[in-house]
Amino acid sequence: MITVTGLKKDFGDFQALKGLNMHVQAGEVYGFIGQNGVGKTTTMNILAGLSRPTEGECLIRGKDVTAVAHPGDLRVGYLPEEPKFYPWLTARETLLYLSEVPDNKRVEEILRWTGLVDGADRRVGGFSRGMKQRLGIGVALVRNPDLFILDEPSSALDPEGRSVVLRLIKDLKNMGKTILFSTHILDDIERICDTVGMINDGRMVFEKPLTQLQVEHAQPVLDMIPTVPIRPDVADALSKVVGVVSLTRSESSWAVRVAHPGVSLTVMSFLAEHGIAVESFAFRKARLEDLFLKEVSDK
Amino acid sequence: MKSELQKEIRYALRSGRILILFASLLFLALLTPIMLKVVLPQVLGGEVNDLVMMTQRDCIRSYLGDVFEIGGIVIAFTLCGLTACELQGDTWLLPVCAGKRFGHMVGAKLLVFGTLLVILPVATLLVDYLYSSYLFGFEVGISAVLFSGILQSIYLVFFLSCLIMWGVFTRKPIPAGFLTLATAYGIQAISSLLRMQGWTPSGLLTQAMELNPTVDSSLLISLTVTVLLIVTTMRITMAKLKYMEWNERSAQ
Repeated sequence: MITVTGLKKDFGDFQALKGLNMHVQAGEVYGFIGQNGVGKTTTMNILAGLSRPTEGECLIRGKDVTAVAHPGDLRVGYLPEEPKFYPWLTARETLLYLSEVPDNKRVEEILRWTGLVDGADRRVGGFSRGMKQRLGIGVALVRNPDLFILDEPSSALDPEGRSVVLRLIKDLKNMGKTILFSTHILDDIERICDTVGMINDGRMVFEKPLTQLQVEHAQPVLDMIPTVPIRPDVADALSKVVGVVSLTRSESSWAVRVAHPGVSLTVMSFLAEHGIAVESFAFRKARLEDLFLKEVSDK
Repeated sequence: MKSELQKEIRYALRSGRILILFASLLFLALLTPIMLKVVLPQVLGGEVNDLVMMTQRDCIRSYLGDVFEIGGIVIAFTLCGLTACELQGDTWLLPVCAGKRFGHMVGAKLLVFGTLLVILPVATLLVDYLYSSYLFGFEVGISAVLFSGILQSIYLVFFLSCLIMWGVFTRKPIPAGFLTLATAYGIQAISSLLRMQGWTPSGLLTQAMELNPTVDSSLLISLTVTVLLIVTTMRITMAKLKYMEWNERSAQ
């Protein structure tokens, strides 16, 4: 559905994209992750036909995005990070205005699907962020495209709003649509994505099916909260213990990635030798967040 | 294009733009006759007042002048956000992605607000005409007044096309308003200095002031030049929109 090869984008002297490659298969949900300012929105803008690349090739359904005369000709359902609507139009009027052919029945279906029936005749200016985001997804669907590009659709939403947006994305997937979406919330990626692509410094760091990623990085992680702070030299020594893959600190807790569960005994002995008691000591499988933090720290 | 026209009509009504324009022009239409009939004689005093005899024709001319000078400022800053705010606020982003054509989006603005700028000035000019006839007596025929009103309205459509174009270039409403006023007043000043008003849209205003409903070659030249300039500003606007990068953080 989407093939990006050697994509580069310059803003004056600043190189936002430095040869990005990306492949999105038809019918999949592709999670696009990366830190702020690494080029996610720039990539999505180019794919939506809103911005021109400096170099490289972007194909959507085999067609070069730079060859279309108007962004609308790409027939992509695009949702920007902060969708801006006309505050003086109602949700129903907004959907009718943005429809290719005004169709009250279809608009009614979309309002029902997005849960906006009650607010359909209210002006959008009075909508909450979550309602606007749902309306934005409805707007993206109004022309019934087969590809959706959603830029951080669940960011800055409360848990309920996030859950509704994720449900809508799942529905789109069940309709057979292809979805490329970016987010900072890695839990969302683990909940709905088929493939994950991580961008850093304008390049793709990895692009793999989520299941493969989980198998490859299935090293267990020991989460522990020591009762006393671990001194830097002790932490350094712990990271060198045989079987310990990496050590990450997050405020008062530590995540110790180990080669296999048996290493936990060695870690416990090490802590005992250094007189470090722990409040909690729990095993879990490595999550995408651990991988993300590892990749970011490696870079 | 029907949906774009509906959207612009809703904007004109719900944002209060029509009300602001109508109230401002009506204020000028009612104030001018009072100023000339009541205030000016008191300011000038007895003897000078006998020398300066104001008529309905002077009153209507004064109103037409006020619409260009004061009304122009009101129109510029009431409608300066037509395209600038769409770009500044990114509200055109979703319509563009939904396949709305630039020609339809900009054309709807020109059509809806252009129609308003024909109807409102002509309507308020008629109010001025009736009120001045009450204060000064009938002197000018209604056909002459309507003819002048329409010429002035065509000039205002050119003014609107400048607002739309500068809005796209600046992406900011206030600078777009100032640039439009600079364009309008600049054309008026330069064409007056060079005595070539007939070759600019200002010629329409000069002809409107005549209150003489006849079409001569000089009027036809002014009309043709004005229509050509409207078409040119629209084409420049389209070209700018076509090559614009959207939703760029660096551009904000």
